[in-house]
Amino acid sequence: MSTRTLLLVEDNPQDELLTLRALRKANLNASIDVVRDGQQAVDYLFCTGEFSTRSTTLPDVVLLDINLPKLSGLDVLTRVRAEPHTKLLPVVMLTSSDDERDRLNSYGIGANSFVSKPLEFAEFMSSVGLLGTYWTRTNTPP
Amino acid sequence: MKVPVQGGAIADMAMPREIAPASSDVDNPLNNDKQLIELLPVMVWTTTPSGHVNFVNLQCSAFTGVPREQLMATDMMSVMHPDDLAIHDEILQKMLHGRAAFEYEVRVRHHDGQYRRCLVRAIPDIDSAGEVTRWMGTSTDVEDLRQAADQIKLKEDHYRLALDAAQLGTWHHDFRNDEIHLDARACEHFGVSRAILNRAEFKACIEPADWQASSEDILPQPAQAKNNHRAVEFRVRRPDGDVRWLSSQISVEYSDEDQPRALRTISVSRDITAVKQAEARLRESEARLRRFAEHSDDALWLGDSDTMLPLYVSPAFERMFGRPLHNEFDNADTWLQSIHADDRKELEHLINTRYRTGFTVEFRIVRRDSSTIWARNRTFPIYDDRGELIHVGGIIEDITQRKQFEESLRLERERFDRVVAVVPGVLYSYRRISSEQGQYTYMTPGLAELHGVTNEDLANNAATVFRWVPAEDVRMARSTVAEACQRLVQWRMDYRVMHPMKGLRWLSINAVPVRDADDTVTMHGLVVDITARKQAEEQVQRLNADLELRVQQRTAELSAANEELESFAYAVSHDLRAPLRAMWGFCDALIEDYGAALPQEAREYLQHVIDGSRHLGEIIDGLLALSRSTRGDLRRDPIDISVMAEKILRDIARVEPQRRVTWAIQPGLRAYGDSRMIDAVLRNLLGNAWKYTALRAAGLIRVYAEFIDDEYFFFVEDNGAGFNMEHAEKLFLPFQRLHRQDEFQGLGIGLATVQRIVHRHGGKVHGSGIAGHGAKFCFSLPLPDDTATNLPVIEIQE
Repeated sequence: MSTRTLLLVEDNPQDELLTLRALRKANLNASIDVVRDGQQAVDYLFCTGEFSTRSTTLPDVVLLDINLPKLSGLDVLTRVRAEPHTKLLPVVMLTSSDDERDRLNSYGIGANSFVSKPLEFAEFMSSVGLLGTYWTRTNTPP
Repeated sequence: MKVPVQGGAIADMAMPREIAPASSDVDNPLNNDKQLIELLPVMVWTTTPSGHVNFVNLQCSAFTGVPREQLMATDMMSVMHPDDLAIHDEILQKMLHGRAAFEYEVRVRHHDGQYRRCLVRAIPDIDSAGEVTRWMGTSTDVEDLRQAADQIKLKEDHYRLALDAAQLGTWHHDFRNDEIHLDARACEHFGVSRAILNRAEFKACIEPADWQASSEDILPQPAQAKNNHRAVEFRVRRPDGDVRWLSSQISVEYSDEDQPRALRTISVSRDITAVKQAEARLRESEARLRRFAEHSDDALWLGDSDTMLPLYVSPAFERMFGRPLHNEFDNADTWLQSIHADDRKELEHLINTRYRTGFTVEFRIVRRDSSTIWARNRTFPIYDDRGELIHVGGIIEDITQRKQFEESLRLERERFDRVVAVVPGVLYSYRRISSEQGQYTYMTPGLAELHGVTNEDLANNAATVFRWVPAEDVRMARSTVAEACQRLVQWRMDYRVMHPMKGLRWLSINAVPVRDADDTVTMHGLVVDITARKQAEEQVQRLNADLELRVQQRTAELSAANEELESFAYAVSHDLRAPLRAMWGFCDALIEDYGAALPQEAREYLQHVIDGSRHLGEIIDGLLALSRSTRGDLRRDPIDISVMAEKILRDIARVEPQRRVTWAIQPGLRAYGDSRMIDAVLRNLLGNAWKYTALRAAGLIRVYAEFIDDEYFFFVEDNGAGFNMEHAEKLFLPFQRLHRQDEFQGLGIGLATVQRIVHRHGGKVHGSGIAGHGAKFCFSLPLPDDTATNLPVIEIQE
């Protein structure tokens, strides 16, 4: 079984630290790449810009924040769903918003899941851990 | 020479008459006393038996102026009237062949040349042998006698003619034989054919009643006939049944004796039937007129033209003057006192100056009971057939009602004028002849001025009202009027006048068309200058448009503000949560990863940071919920309150399984509303109930509904800590709490959220409580009007 790759798009360094710690604690056998804004995420996924030299392998799952500098998470998702080879890429919206509209928009554009970042640390740990586990282990594409 | 008139004698005078033969004694003087014969003042003559004149006396010659010889030579024929020569022949024949005396009247020429009538008498002288030996005669001048008789005859003829002309009949009653003699006219009057009647026959002619009353006058006994001249009227009944009225003038004729005896009555009768009938008709006519006068409501009077005293006044006077009039009219001053003082002078003046020429005047009569009536007197002269003034007549009418009517009309008119004066516009009546022709039959001042024309313009041509009205408005007016006249409906129209002095004016016309008797239509209406109103309307329209714009601007500003608010809430949820999560997360991580290395106190401090973070997080969540409850679309989902409450309580109970709380939920409570929001409401209320029953050994929460004032209220009731109603006004204010944090934790946002959500649904929310005994909250969720009919009825099951 090859190593799973997980792309975290997060502009808040503290959230990034907490998320990475939660994923680490969940004992995922996966490599995690982190980009910090929407543009970087797009470049990463389509191997453009600073990631033009990156191999074209896609991550197994993208954890995508919505509030991002440059391009928002929803913009990124729109681009991903627009390209045939990224169309089926699993994308989980991971956001501190529990706004109804964000949720509806996300599912409307084609997010696979929508997870509101809980405030309580324990809950956060458990949520992120479950996410990582599900998308890197259980939900293996055929 | 006067001849006494003796009845019966006159008629016979001219007739020849046989005279007895003279005795022989007569001869003697003639023979023996020739001298005497010569001196006689009558003509005496003798003839031979064959008629030759052989003697004439001196008088013959004196009378005729012809010598005796000549007279005898011509047998006196030379002096006889030529027309009477035939008589002479007759005389000769009598003498030759007769033996009887005779007399003739012959005209003989007098010596003055005039022929005079003479009576010729002759007697034969007969000898013993019976032979006529000679004729002796006399001729007597009877001319004067005859003339007198002729005069009498003429008079009698005239008298008869007069009687005939007067249709007078004569009759006389002879006392000696009690016979009544009637002339032809009298026979006609009495209806009898015989000229002589006896008393019984005469009586039978008289109407019995009149005979009974007047027989002594009509046919008096001689002893009763005292008054020698009297008149009597009576009726006679003629054989054909006709009854005639006769008037008789009866005179009594007495004898010439020393003790005069009544000989007979002489009567002249006249048929007065026509007069009697005329009199009866006149009486009837007068009676009719009088009845008419007596029954008339108008007072009729007749006055003497000279004395001005009343001759007749009808009974209506008493009614009119309200007092008996026995003496009122004896003295004009008396009745004048009944005339109202203000009117008396004029009336007196008219009476004094115009009594005989007539006048008409109105005045008031003050009656005895002090009431006043209005009267109108018309005085007029009455002339006879010859055009001479005989009477002055008058008619007085009671015109009180008319006056009252006039007065009420005047008051009505005054009221009308007063109303018209304050009507803000011009009233008019317009008689429409055709679409472009007509005339104003009535208008209050100002119509011309409103239309910028003159009154003369309007009088000349009513259409000049449109002089300054735009053609478009004129067309509209004409078609509106035409239709209104056709259908006879009230109409109203606003139109413009480009007034030469005032500029654009708006007028409003309002009219009711009425069809007149002659089939034309007259419009009665009102024209009002509504320029000010129009300007105000335009102002309002401008203001409204302005307002609309401002509302739009405000709405735009508001929605911008709302958007800002939303993005603020969004930012809060993102930007505040992140650092909070970091504080909380790293404290947790610190305790988890390095907790063992930290002193107990440090771990407790970290725990305080975590508690603070948690509290802050709850505040943020509460604020977001509150914010969310007032924005976004409001849905109307069917909600089963009972099921929802049950689910929420189970959720809560799962968190705190150690709590022993029982709940009783009325099943089947249904409502319509935004299910997410109502869920928040119930979660808050039930959460509170759960929270505040924490200190109860046996907490009880009840959910039920009640019908209060036409509305369903859903109740959430607990037996928890309750609250003091003194602070009830703070219940629904955000961040207001009735309990200390160390008693019951909370933010003070829950009930504020509940209230906002219920209000958004148009419902009501109330809370009540007793400190230490529990709290009770209720809310209603009325159905929106437009959906009420489409929604199923909510059934409440006990």
